[in-house]
Amino acid sequence: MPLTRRQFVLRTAAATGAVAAVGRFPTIIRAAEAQWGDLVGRFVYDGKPPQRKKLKVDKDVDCCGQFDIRDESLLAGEDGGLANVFIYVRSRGIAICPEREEKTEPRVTLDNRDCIFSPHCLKIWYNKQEFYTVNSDPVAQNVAFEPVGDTPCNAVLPVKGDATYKFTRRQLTPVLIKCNYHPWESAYILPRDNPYTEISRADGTFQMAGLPVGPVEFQAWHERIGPLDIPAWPKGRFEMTIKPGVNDLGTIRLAPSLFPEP
Amino acid sequence: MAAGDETFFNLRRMHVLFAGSAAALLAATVWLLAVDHARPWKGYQRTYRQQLEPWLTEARLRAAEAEDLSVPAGQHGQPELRQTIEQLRRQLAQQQPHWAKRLFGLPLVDAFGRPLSIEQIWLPELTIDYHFRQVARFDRCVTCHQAIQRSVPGAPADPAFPRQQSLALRLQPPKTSIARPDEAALEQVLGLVLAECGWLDSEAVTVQQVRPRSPAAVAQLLPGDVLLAIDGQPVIGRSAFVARLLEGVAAGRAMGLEVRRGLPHPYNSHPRLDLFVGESSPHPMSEFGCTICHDGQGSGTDFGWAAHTPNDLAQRARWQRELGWFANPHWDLPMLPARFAESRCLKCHHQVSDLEPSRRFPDPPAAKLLAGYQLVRQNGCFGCHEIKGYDDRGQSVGPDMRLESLGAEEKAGADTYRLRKVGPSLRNVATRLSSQFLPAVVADPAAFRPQSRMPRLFGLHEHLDASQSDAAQQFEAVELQAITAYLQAVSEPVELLPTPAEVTEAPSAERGRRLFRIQGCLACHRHPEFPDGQSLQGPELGNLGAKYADQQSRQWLTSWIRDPLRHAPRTRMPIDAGAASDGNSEGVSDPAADLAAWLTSYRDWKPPSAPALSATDLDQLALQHLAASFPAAEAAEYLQTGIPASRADQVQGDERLLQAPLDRQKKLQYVGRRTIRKRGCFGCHDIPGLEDAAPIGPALSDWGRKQLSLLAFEQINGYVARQESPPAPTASAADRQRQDFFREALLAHRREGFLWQKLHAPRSFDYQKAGGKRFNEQLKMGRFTLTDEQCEQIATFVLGLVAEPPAARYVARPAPPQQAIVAGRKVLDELGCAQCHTLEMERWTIEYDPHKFAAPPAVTDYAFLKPQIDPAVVAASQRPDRRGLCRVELVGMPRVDAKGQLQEDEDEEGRPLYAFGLWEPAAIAGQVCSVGGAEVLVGQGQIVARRPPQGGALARLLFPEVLAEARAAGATGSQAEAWGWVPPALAYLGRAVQPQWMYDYLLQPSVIRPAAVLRMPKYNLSPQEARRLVDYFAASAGVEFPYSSSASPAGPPAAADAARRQRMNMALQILRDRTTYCAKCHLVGTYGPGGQSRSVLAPNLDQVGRRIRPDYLRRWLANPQSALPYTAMPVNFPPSGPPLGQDLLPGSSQEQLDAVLDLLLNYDWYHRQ
Repeated sequence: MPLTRRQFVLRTAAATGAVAAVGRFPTIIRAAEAQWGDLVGRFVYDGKPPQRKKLKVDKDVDCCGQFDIRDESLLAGEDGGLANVFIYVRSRGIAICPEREEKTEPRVTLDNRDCIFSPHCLKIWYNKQEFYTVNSDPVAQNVAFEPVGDTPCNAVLPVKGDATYKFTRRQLTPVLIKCNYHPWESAYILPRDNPYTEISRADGTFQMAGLPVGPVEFQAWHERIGPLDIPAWPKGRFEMTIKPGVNDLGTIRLAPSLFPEP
Repeated sequence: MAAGDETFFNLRRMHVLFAGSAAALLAATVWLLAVDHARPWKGYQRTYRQQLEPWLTEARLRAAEAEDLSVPAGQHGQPELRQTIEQLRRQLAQQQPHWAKRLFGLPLVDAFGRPLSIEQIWLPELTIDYHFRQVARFDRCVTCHQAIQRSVPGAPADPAFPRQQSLALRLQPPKTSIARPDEAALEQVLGLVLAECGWLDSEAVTVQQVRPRSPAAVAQLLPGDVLLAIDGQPVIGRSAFVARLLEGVAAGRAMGLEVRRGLPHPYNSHPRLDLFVGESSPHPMSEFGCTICHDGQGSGTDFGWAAHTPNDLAQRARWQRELGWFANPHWDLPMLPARFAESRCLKCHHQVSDLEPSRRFPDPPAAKLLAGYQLVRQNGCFGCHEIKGYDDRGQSVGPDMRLESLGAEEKAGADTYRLRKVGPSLRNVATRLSSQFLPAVVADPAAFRPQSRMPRLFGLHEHLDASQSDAAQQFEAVELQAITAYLQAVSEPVELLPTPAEVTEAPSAERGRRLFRIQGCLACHRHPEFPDGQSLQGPELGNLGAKYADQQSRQWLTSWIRDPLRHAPRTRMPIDAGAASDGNSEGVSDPAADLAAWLTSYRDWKPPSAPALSATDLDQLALQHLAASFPAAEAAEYLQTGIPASRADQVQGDERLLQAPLDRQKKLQYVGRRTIRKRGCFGCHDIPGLEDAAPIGPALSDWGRKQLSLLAFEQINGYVARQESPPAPTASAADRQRQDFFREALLAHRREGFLWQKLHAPRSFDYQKAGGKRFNEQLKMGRFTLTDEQCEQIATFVLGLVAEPPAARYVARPAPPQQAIVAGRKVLDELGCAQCHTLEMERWTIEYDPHKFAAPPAVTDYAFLKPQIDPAVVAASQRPDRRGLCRVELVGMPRVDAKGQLQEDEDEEGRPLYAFGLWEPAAIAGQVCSVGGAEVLVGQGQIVARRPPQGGALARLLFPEVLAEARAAGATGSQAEAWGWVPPALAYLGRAVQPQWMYDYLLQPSVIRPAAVLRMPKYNLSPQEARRLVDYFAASAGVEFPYSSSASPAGPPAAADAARRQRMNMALQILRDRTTYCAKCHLVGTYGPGGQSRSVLAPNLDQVGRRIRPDYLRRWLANPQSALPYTAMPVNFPPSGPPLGQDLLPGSSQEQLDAVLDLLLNYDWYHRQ
């Protein structure tokens, strides 16, 4: 039945109110006039990269003992490029670029392969993506994590097994994933309510595309340090005004003294 | 003689006389009636009935009417609410003054008893001892304390007239504009209605109503609150308040309100109505009255004659000024000051530990009394002062804290209900302590160990003049050497345990330090290097290099650590089953030797050299002792020649040591033994030859009623005057107030003053008396290291020892489960179990808006795991109070970071948020939250109360250490996992384990969880103590009484039950599967995953059926986190999605887990098959 003018106005107002009521959630802007910018930068370990310690493999040795399993908590290249630094938007209610949403995969996959988690660091837009874990090893694996205020997971992954998990809440910092069978295995996943999370690549670089123009607060985090609490970034946080196009954060050099031994 | 008009008396004069006397009688009658009319209790009753009651009723009526109006239109006239309103209206009408009330309240008429009258509670079974006769008690306290029992309707624990207190509240008004700044605006914007007049003071600006969910309600304002100031500035008058509040509203700024809540005595209700006075409390006033707890003259209706006792000097002055208070000299049992209000709990609560906080009463019912009890227990007061809890007929009369005897018949553990001696055994003292160390530490224990619990017995000369002090010093020097000589002479040889043959490593102090930190020593001991460890269970171990200075004593220390029970059978120190390997180095080390090496590496004190022994002083002292047993001449003769062999048979006691021929060593030993006997060292230490010695101090069993005339105050007032000194500048106002109170009590020769002085300066009662006494006759009590607060706690306990049990039905006799908890707590306290283990989880009381609170996501689980919560409780969890808030108590553990600190998250506004993991299900906002599900997120402002966990200090101390160690070793190590490596929380242990298994385990512990960093040590537990512990854990976990082990519900399968046997065979495949299932982490008998990291080794499954209760095991298999939230065990039988392991055990997840459960519960039978 067609709506009367009065009904139309009332329902539209109600819908607008409902949207405003949940205004703290990210707003997906589809208007053509919105402008977007990219943030790029590079994290560098400002010293001689440490040798990666060989981890003690004392479980399922027949299978896992054949791999050279090493500590992944500090991955720095020869030129200092520092991998696995999480950098993400801290501002609430940030506008989201439609392109980012369109390109978002429906799920994020964590593989148990060669008796380690792969990849070591993951990001997930929990409103849009589900977390899929799979076991490619010939021994059973376990995926255990406890996000703050969210349902804990402690799933068995038999050989060739898989499992799916749905986060329901954003996290302030990445969540530790471990395997209760193999104590050396670890990974991190950061569930956020927007797609603006990047993890630095092997050369230390990162690119966060499609940020809304204007002031945005960011958070940086590394598993050895926690929040990258450097003088310029108290508690690992900093604010930057994003302009259309590329915004270069430059090279962020991190002194070795910031990285305590685990 | 003719009759005439003349009379014997002059009639005119007589008429004047009669008229005058009639007028005087009339005046006296008027005066009598006036005095009667003005009796204070009538004034209190008038105020209560004519002002307070109508005021409260009207406030309630207005609130109910407002609520009725706020109900949506269709629901107006709800029957219950309308009924309440009508009832309140009738009540208010009855309370209003009318002509009949006025008439009966007139001065002449009110003498006849109505409506104002003396009210009393008749208590024929709670008699008072009137010396030689027990008389029925009747308490008239309620005559003045009219509101003492009044609670808020529907909330029996909340006082209707709370005690007067000042509060600072914060009022956050909404941003709005105000058309007219009047009281209507105040009500509309803030939800605040002011009363026409105050409760007691008509001018006081008093809140009459607070609208539900209004800013005033959110600020927690209540009807009856008196507004005093806004933003720190006093405001006078109602209109000024209205104006200032509305100014704040217009500015949209938060305002700080200073508020006076409640009423002064005698108008307020009793505190803790959940515990006392209330009809639903354990002590309803109609059954218990008042004076059974408070003392005082219950029949008195005047403030002074009721024998009130002020709590401090300021109150005393105020009472004298305002209420005409005086110390009633005609009543033997004056009321206890408020500071000792808990003392009388001991009249009925003889077990004492039944006064610990419980699930029903989580707020401590008698915290100060319990603290005093623990101090008496820890300091071993009962070693010198018998505290016997039974009278001659065997009837319980109070707490029983008798010392166990180490006589021959009890060495075998015949009597284990008595308390153990608090000091170390001196049975092998010659092996471990040098003759230089021993007298030095006895002379001044605090010099060696500043926080020593050993009292100072020597060098207490403040009460002596110079010459007396010199003499005392001479004799004390002899006594110290004599004690040493005697102890070394009677010390028994002990064979020290050798180093185990497999040890290859030399002792290492570095390894020892780590062991001390990580192996549980901090559960009982302190050490300067680990300031976080604050346990008082055992001695501080900071200076052992001075104590164990030579090779032999260090060997003894190593042997002691290896097996304490071998050296002292009644020690509380357990054997750590750890033998000789730390598992990390290639060689094999000896943990005991490592610990000894580290402990003795600390030496910050050197015992001073003892002065040369004076033979003259020794002889004089020996003669004093001898003269107590023999005539003077005979004593002098024996001192010269010794007791001849011909008289040896006739000599009894210590003098047998002086048999001829006599030498200096014999004299020393004799004086040593006599000194030990005199000073009562055996009250704390096991000393050979003095196992059965009687306590030296007066008994305390009924000290709280001891006649004051029997307390020897002597010249104490003179001593106090001489010692007068200004209070320490660091003393707080509370400390000064306490000191003034006790000083006044001492000078007034009251019991509590005596006790205070005995604890602070025990010998001071000998001031100006010592000169007339021999050295051995002077006071002997030592001085303990106690703070003023601790002294008051001890006084609270000791004053409660009155040995006046009321009629049997009043004596606390807990039901079997409660009794099991009470009895078990004594063993727990004795052994210090709570140092390692959490016995009660943390509790947070939170308030939330049910419309906004985001309850944790629901969990998909098996139906049998669904928490059972009363639907009424669930419904109540979404029914807000007048502030728009609901309240719930969460039980469990908040999430902490890797350092053990509360982990902080953020809400959408960036405010702090904490995650609380549930260990008990909770209903929040209409949703039932399960154990093991998502944590509840709690904002900082939502937390109303935090009750810390009981016990588990060591577990929390170790938590960051073991986590850091695991991570340093290359393991991932999550916080949750680390809780599994430290001593476990035992709050719900009774639900999990079988009683019989636990009993066996306590007597002979074995390794259950290989991943734990420290193992349960073996204590010297008697079978009775083990049984008490088992019952305690069952009762505290709510297991049904009696506590017996549960067998497998179905029992082993019958021979014909082939299908079940077949399922068990398949279930065995799950158990033995190393690739995916049980044997990947668990041993099954000797079959298991093989050599690997200890951190992922799980308990052996062959004993599971004997160890775990069937219903708990089923829960564990179905969802391990719902049984133990921090366990690392994965979910092997997922409740949703496709079941796993179909190749091994086909079927649904529930069928699989039932088959595995069946096998585990019948594993013994299956294994035999």
